[in-house]
Order: sequence, then C-alpha cells, then structure tokens
Amino acid sequence: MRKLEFKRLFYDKSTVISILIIVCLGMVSIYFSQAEKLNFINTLNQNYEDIDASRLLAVIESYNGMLYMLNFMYGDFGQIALLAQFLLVGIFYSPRIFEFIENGYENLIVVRTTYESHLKTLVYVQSKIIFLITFISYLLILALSFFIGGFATSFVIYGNFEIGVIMFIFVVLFQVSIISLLLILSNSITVFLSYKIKQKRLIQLTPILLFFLFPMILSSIFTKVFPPLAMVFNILIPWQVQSMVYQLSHENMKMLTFLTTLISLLIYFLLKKFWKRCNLKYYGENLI
Amino acid sequence: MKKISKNICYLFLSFIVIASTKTVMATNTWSDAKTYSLKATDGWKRGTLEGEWMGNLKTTNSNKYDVYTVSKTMWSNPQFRLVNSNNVAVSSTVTTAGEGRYVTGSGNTGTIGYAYYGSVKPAWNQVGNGRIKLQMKAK
Repeated sequence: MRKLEFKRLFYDKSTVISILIIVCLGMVSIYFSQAEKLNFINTLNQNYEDIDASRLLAVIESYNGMLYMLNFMYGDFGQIALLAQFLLVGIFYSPRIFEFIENGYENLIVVRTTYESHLKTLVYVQSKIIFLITFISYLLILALSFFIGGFATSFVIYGNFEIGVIMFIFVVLFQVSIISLLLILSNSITVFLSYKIKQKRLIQLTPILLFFLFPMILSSIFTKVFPPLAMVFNILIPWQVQSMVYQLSHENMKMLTFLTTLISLLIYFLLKKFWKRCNLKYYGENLI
Repeated sequence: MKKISKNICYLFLSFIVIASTKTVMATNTWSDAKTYSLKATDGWKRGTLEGEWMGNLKTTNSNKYDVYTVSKTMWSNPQFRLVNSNNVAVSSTVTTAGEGRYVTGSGNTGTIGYAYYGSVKPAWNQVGNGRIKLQMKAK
C-alpha cells in the first residue's frame, strides 16, 4: 500500500511543479548574488581611495558556488522558498485524507485495513515525498550555483565561520533536513487537524495561516504592547528555525538563545501528537 | 522514519556542541547608537532619526564588522551593510540580530583611518513601519 501510494503521489504533476518553483527561486537568488558580485567589480573599477583594492578583490573572488548556495539558503529567496513550500504542501498533500473521507473512498479502504493504518501510511508517504522534493530541489540549486558561480577550492568566510567543502556539505544536508522536518510537521498537523476544519480550501491554506500568518501578526501586535510575548510568537515562525545556522555563524549567540530556537520544533511535535490522537478518536467513532 | 528522526537528533546534537564551544572576540569601541525608521517599501537608507549618519573609524585590517541591535519595533530583522562617504557599499550584507545581540558581517573592504557608515534596508517580509536602534564597529 505504501509503495502504491508513493508511486501515485511522487509521479504526480505536483512533484514537478514544487521542484520547478523552488528551483526558479534558487535561480533568482543566484542572479542577485551574481549582481552583487558585479557591483563589487564596478566599485573596484572606480578606484575609491577609502576602499582597499586587494581586500575587495578577495571579496570578489569569494563569490563562488558555495557562497551563492549559502546566500540562497539563508537569504530572502530561501525564506520565500520555504513559504512557497508550506503553501505547496498545503495545496497538494494536506487535504488528501479529508478528500478520501468526503468522497467515500475511505469507506472502501477501511474494509481492507484500519483507518489508523491508512492515515499512518498516508502521512509516512507524504513525509517521504516532502523530503525527496526538498532534497532534489536543493541538489539542483547547488548544481546551478556551482555551474554559474564556479567550484570553490578554498574556505568561504561566512560571518564568524570559515566554511570548507566538507562543512559546506554538512550545512546543506542539515538545512535540507531541518526544512523537511518543518514541512513534515506542518503537513502532519494539518492532516490530523483537517477533521476540525472540514473545508478543502481552508485546509490547503492552514500551513501558511497557522505557521506563518498567525505568529507573525501576533508577534507584530505584541512587539508594541508586550515584547516578551512577541518573542514567544517570533520563535514559532519557521523562518527562525530555518536561519539557525546563519544565526550561529553570524551572531554572538548564547547557548540559551540557540536552544530557544528548538522550542518551536518541540511545540510542533507535541501539537502533532495531540491532533493525531484527536483525529483518531474522532474518526474511530464517526467513520463507518 | 525512526532512523531519519534519529539522524536528525544527531545533527541537532552536533550543532548544540558547536554552539556551546563558540567564543566571540570583541575589539574596538561601538559607535553612538542611532535609530533608523523603516517603511516596508524603503530601499537602502543611511539617514537616521537623530539627523547624523551612524558610523566610526576603521582601526584594524579586519575584514569583519559588527552591528549591535539596541532595540527594534518590527518583528523582522532588517539588512545592514557598511558604506563609505559616497554611499558605496564597502562590505557584504548581513541580517541584523534580535534585541540585545550583535552580528558579525564579513567582506569589510575599508581602509584604516577612514570613516564608514551604516546603511539599513527593511527585510522583504517586514509588516508596516518600524524603528531599529543600532550601534556598529567598523573595526
């Protein structure tokens, strides 16, 4: 059943659309990195006396594939890509179990297996595909970065870090894992929560509304009224977790501050457990 | 799935270890704190609410610089870079930190003895207007 569901979902147009959108955003990010490099070349040609030409040359040379990829992962377009992924996951995957129940297909499935088993299979397969889409997209952007920016043979200075090739691979893999985890958790919560929402369009928008708009608006409101509460909502925004490595490499971050970033993941895990139990209880009693 | 979760836990642990061993060396002195008022639609901005540009002299050969966030009213973190007196970028861009923390930017191409200034741009996802009070070290 897992294999069948995997094939049905993975060889769907949604996979191609998702990968294309993320890669396009990656390409725009690469374009801006390239433009930034050209700006520095232009500055070098102006011969300003208060700019050290040799150091500027070193900065220009440091603009290679590795830096382009880092600029994407921790820059504006990486954040937009994450937002787009939340939206795409919501549109393509989150309402699936709700659709099965609505059109009566789930009744046919529970004849052969239990609802719990089918729900678990569906979430497992969706999680696997979310990871694969993120991995393939990032791999393609990485290839494009190296193709346009050139291969890096030395270290890239990134904030307080000097990132070599091995560290870079580790950082990219970590980023793919953390983004997949955020998406998997948000999708699972939305799937389990769908029995409460009961409207396809609203279920599709839930990952964006619940994980971005809701904490962003509350954080904006409480920044002016009650700053400590604003900080709590700020931590819940997925961009905070996404920028963990950036914060670690650029900030004088204290251990406690770093650990608070992980609190949001813990909260998402607990929410997932809670709504899963509620969902199973609800359909255990109401599904024929 | 359990194996993936286990691997992710190991990745987290590795980063926690890196974070705990990280030390930050701070030198030089901070500039006077200045407040930037930013609208979501603003581009790079050097002017502050106090009327003067925020800046200080470069005193070392370091290719880094620091920016300290004293306070801010927006939820997002604006971008920052160093510029010279002609408003030409002399460093790479860095995302400012949360309140009470500082970030270290790289690509500082300034020359010792010259003054450099801070230039700020709102984050792409800033909601409405906001103010940010910063201090910097051109190093």
